[in-house]
Amino acid sequence: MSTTGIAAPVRAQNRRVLVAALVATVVMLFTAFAAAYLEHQGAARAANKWSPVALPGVVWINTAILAFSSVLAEVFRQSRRRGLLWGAMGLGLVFLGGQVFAWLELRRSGVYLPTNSYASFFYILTIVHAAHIALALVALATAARRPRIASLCVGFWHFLGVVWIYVLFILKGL
Amino acid sequence: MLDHPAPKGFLSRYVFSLDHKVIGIQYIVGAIVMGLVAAYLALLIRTQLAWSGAIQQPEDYLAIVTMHGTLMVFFVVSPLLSGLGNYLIPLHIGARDMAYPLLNMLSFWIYVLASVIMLASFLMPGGAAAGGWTAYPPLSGSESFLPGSGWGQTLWILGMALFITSFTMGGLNFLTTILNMRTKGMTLFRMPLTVWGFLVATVLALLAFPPLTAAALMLLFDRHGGTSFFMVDAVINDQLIAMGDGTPLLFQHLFWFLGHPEVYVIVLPCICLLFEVLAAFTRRPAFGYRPSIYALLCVGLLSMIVWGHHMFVTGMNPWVGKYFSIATVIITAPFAVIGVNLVASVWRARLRLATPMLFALATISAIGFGGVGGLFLGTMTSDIYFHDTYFVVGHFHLMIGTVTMLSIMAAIYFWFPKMFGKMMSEKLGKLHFWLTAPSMMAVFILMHMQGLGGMVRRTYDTSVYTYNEGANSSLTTPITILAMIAVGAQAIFLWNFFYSAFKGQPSGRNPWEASTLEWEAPSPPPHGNFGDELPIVHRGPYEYSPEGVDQDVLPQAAPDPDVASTDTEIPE
Ligand code: HEM
Ligand SMILES: [Cu+2]
Repeated sequence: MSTTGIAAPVRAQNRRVLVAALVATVVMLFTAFAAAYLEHQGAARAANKWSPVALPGVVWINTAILAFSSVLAEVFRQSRRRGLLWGAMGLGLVFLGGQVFAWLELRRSGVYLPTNSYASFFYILTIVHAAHIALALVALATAARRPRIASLCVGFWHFLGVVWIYVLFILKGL
Repeated sequence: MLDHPAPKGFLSRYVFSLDHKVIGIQYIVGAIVMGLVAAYLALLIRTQLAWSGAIQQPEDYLAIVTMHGTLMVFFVVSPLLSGLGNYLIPLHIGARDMAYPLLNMLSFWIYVLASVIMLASFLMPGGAAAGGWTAYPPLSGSESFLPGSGWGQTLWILGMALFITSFTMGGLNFLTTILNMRTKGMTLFRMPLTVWGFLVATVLALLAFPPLTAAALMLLFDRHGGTSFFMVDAVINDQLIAMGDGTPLLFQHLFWFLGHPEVYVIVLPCICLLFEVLAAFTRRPAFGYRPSIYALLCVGLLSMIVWGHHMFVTGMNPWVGKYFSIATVIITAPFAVIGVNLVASVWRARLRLATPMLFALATISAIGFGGVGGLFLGTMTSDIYFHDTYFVVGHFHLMIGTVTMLSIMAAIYFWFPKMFGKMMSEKLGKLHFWLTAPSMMAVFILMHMQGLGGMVRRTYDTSVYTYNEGANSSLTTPITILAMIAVGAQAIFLWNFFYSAFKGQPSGRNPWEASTLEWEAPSPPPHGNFGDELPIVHRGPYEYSPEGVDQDVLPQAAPDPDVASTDTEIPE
């Protein structure tokens, strides 16, 4: 029996299916949060209790950082210059730091996790998103050494950027 | 063509194995262990109900019911299917292993960890989680409502979170393997129905579990972070307990958005594998292969949008209830197609009544009885009466308890020779069957009768409430005795399983003369499953008694006989 392993094209196809399925589960997760948010908002508005808090300004800076990180990652994907990948990951870390800063900022202004349901949703959505970013950073780190998975990791990174926009849309737009 | 070399030491062969066959058997053995615990809990429930001399405190009873339900659904039936799927999928589609063996091993060990944490719930101050397997808040949200809602509930949530992780990892593996790792000639529409069942179930699980994860996370925040996603102010013993102004109904939506598809996640593979057994023991093709697949896809799709039928009496808008009621009735149509195909598969056939076939036939009747009960529960008007009675308990035990257990038994008896290269004893198998199937069906059908009389579920002593009088309560003790027979009979199975694994008669490669690919491999299949060359598939899975050919069966991998069958080209 040969031990050359699973054929390369099958491997590539496996990875695509795996990442597509992961994307689907993340979409379902955030859809569930969005549904929960709408339900709470509806109930609270009916009782005249809906009180969104102003998001700390750093959130918008974080958005720009994440977008820039995606750009760097994309250029890396096309040029395969590793320095760009480190740049993208560095910006990802800065984004996480910025998120921590945003939480502390809210805390300073007296908005805690249980303060009201808008605040609860802000914290839970951003925490869950940050957890995904942290895991994706690990994936990106492995992409540096394994060029064959680089495209997919970068694609997933873009996807988390879109999820971030979606989180903002839930919090500001709904 | 295998990533990992054949293992050498004991640890890498039997404990931290990467081989899908070993992992499959590990899952099955793990689930059997958890099954013993959960069955023991079932007997505790039944003895309490029948001879309710206040053996258990009400809180203990609720904890036992909760843990029994949770363990059975998530830690017994689901992993049994993970085990069967792990074992069968690569063999069925002609692959050497799963797409991601390491992920596969991790998913098993995370399941073990999840089981330990779930069982540790019993050791917590206040006892195990007691808010029901549905864990509805506010009940499950705070110790002030129920002692088990303290640390017991926290461990329950963590155990569930780990289980979801493990099941999702397994699902990713199933999906990639089925979609990409099929051998040459194994087109989607030549896959055995078992594999189709696993495919649809996996997609459902991957889509339906994340919302439950969201709900579990929010519940955790409510319990330990002071939020009130689900919690509401409550009055207990004339005391107001301030919990905030969340929406408990939201949890029910999120829970049942998973909960209903989960039923199909465990039932669909169980139903699909029956076709395999029926075909082999009737020597006829399974009836309606393609219609069954289309029906399966419809059932899968519809199962995502019927969850509200569990919530008719929650104060949800009646128009929404009406919608869910109609959607539920619609889903019975494709389901009936599958049921009819099952019956047609045995209609006027000459049956070989070996043990796997007996279990398969009993499963079909359980589907029938369970399905009829489902109509009453899916109809809003009758459900208002039946909700929270033993009618519900009887119904879901027929579907997710009896159908799954009997079908998994059929599968184990059927594929055991492949797994161990030995036969299980037919005599003991038949004895096991005749003690198990009739008693199990009787237990749950009689529960329907109590439910018709209005007997309320999740009640530690039905005699203390006057509204249970006249609810066919004279049936309680007979049900308990029957349940003891059903559970006790599993000792015969355990003996047969473990004894035959070591000392059974050698089975040879293909004892049932079946047609699918796994029977091409030696029993038990070696590392890498098939020899140097992977088998090539020439036809659909059930070419029994083929027309114009002087042969009892045309296996999928057999080259064409002299007389051409219609379906011979090998697509890429
Ligand atoms: C012979 C075997 C079994 C017996 C005698 C049995 C008995 C019972 C009884 C009497 C209850 C309801 C208690 C009450 O509401 O007060 C119950 C609940 C339950 N059982 Fe079983 N059971 C058995 C097997 C199974 C199996 C195989 C499953 C697999 C899915 C299962 C899943 C459940 C669930 C989900 C609940 C609901 C728990 C809750 O109310 O939160 N049971 N069982
Ligand atoms: Cu349902």
